[in-house]
Amino acid sequence: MTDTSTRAMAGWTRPSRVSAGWRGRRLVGKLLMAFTMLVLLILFIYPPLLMVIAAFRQGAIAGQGDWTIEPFIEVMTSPATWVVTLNSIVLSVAVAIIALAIGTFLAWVAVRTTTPLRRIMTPTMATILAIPSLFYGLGWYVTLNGSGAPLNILLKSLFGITGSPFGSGWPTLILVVAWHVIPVAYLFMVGPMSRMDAALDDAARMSGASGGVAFFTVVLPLLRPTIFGVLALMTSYGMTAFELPLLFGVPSQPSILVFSTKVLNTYQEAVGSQGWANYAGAASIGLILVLLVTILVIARERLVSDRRYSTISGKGFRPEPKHYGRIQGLFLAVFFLVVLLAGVIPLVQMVLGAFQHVAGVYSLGFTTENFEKVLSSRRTFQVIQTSLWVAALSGFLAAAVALFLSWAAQRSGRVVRFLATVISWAPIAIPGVLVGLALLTAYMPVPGLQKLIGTPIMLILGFIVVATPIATRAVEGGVVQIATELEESARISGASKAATFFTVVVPLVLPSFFAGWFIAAIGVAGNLALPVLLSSPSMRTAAVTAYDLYNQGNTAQAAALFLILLVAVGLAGGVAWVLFAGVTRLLKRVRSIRIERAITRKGSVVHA
Amino acid sequence: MSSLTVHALHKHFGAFHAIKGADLDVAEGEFITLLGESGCGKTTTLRCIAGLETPSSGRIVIGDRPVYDGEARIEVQPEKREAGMVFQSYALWPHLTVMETVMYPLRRRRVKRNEAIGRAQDILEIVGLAQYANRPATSLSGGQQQRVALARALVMRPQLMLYDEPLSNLDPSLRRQVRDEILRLHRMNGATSVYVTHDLEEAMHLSDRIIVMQAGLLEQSGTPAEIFSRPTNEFVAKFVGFENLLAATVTAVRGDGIEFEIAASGRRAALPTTAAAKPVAVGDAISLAFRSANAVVLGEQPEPSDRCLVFPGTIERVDFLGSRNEYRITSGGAALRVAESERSYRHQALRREPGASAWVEVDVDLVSIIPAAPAAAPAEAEPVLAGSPA
Repeated sequence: MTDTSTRAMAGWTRPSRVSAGWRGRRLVGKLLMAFTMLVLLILFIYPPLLMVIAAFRQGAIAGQGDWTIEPFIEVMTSPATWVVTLNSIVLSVAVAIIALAIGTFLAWVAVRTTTPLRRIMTPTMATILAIPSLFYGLGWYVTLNGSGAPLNILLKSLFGITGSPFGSGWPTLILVVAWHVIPVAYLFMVGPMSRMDAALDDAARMSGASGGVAFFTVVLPLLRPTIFGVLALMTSYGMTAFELPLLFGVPSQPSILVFSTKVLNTYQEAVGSQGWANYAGAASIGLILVLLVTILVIARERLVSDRRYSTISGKGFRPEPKHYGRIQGLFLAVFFLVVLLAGVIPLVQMVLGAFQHVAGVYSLGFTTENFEKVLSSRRTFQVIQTSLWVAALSGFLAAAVALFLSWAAQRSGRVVRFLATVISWAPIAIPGVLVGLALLTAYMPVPGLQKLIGTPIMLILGFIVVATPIATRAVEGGVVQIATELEESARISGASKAATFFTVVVPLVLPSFFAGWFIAAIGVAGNLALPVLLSSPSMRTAAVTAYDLYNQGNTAQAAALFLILLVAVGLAGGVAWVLFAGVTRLLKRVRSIRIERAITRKGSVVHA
Repeated sequence: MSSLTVHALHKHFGAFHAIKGADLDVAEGEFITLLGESGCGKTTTLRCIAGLETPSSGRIVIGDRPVYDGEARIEVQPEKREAGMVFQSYALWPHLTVMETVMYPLRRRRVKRNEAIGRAQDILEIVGLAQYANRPATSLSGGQQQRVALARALVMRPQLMLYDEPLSNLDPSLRRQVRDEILRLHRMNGATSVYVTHDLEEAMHLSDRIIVMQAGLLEQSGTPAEIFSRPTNEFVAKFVGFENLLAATVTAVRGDGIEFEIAASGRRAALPTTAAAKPVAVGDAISLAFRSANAVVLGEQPEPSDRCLVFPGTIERVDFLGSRNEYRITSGGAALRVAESERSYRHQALRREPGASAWVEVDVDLVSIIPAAPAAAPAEAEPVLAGSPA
């Protein structure tokens, strides 16, 4: 036997020059992945990049015209810019610390103590999260502003103070934003908190630490990476906040401007003899924000990737809640206070406001005329309809992108993981106002894409970018929980990578996916920052319309419109959920009936 | 059924060299076990065979089909390797019922639904879970879950079965039961099997052949009996329970025996050549290895005999453990461990206290001669060839 035939018998084939990973179906897979990543990069990274360029050009259209460094220098040398920077930092840090402290504490109360009602804490917080920030803001606005506002009447009768002392200004701004973010902090902390092995806590107690000392010396340090991660997230949230600073910062004397409101102001300034919008100035301010948030995100990634802490999720243990005695009554009181301030007060105020002649003024009595006015307008239905389908579609797409990104980040090589992280974080660095600006900058110069401006497609593209980070935070938790073996066993059982994704990953991640979809859709429905620049008069969202009504002094009608929107979103979500649950159950039943039938058929053959 | 060949397999994780040139030949229908401590590379080897891990270099052939070849740049995806695998964590999908789980491999290979149901039902009957067919797989008990995982792996009648510590997550009482099940199914199905474990007893019970691994190297291959009684190096000896390793130097090798000088006491003695797993030469550093349970403590010096080795010494410590006494006895510079059975300590008169003189006696056929471990392990040892069928 010759050498070659021996080799042939042993299955020897001529070496290919290309390694196994870069041939055949695996190459196709790699190309597909590269293509998807490219599309996402264009969608997510290209607009901000162009925004950087737009900071240095001045003309009628963003990112066009003469190259100039003047607006950039003007922004950088203006004291106002640095006041805005300082304002943003103060606001975001204060908000992050308050929200994280209270959120972490409540998360601990919910999973580690026997406080009554602890089981409803997470669903309650999730529900509060669903209140759009503009709606929440307007609710607080009418509670705090005007001589007829409940708080001001109370202050006047008790202390003789007139006016709206808490209508705007620093304390109000910080507290209102902080209350709004507490549920977010809570929901980020409750997962890691419940996965932490109670034995670690017990060990500290047995080593002589009291309950409180154990909390500060063991529980908190163990959660340090998570805490820093959430702190960074909260801070970036504060930096990019738009609706609340618009309501409680801008009207203050003197105005408290933060990045996003300053960007809008600068954009609306006319420059040059032709009265161009000041794209370059707005983009330059945006650059400072991008830099700050980038630093935060990098810091967060560093801290979260600390491996030593990954053991906090032990195997097969249940966190045993402990009884802390009467002080648990105080814990419960803190919870009620948060629910009251973050949800009940603004919500009730808005619901009542929708039925008042002037929102927030009780002395004038109640009426249904706001609803009559809003509902009698043809525009209302159109606006609600637009908001609903734009929210549903962009929420779905954002959740789908989030699912793909989190899965790719978990299971792929370093390059894909890096890109996925960048894509899922990049939009956080850019407030909605800037995303709108960036999209305008990116699409205006391209002839084909130009036509998209002012259409729902443009709005949806923008919302995907804005909503993906939110959806990612909801979806990635579900993806991380899927143990690698579940996918490996599918591969061994003969499923390709794609088949594994659709038969194992997708069904398991579906609940998180729906949560991500819903949260993203809510965020989109209540978002004002993006459509403020991107929507055209012919295509308005409910949030923009409500804001216009508020600006015209018609807060009661704005409340009515918002209420209708919320009910519509709730109904649509509820119907979708019931439909989905019904269909899944039906499919499951059908499958099991088919299996049962086949079994009986086979059984009868055997017994025949 | 088909054989499995692994040749010069290397795997690096960054700077960490996890597998340092593994060579493995598994005959058709053979059941082999990779035995070793955690982190020795046994699971990585198994995952390379499964295709879940891409080796750095080497060659893996299942039957006559190369599934990985670093030089020829061949890599077959796991789903195309026609292997079955049982995972330590069961790896059952929470969204599927038992029946759907077992049908999954069939459906992925385009077996018609009704035929798939029939085959899944057959295998479920074999593992005794037919009545749970419509329950969610993860709602069953640990032992039942692992049997579902076994059924899923076996339903395709794979040519190769891979087991990754399938019993580690089970309660001790269930382990025995599932172990018997694995053995029964293996005998029924006869697939070539590779089993990974760190548990000696599991390996002894299940395997046709055991391969002991350490730090990415295959240390020794042999039948369970060979591994248990004739380890070829100190690591394997310690791993299979030889508590006593006495350093010695070979002074003479005759036709029927090996003579040596014990380093700790300077005394000379001899053992038959059969005691050595590998041939030795004069001047070689060796270790005399025996289990503590195979030695006897005596209060008086026994009659000299060439059937026994005797070590005189002083009792340093006695620990009463109920079913036995454990002794630490110093003999020259060496510390010996000896276990005395209940039967022996009840019948034999002996001064069982620290400081008392004692004689340790071992039958020559219970002592193994092992090449002594080098003083310092070389950084990058040559690939150790093990695993050719004995």
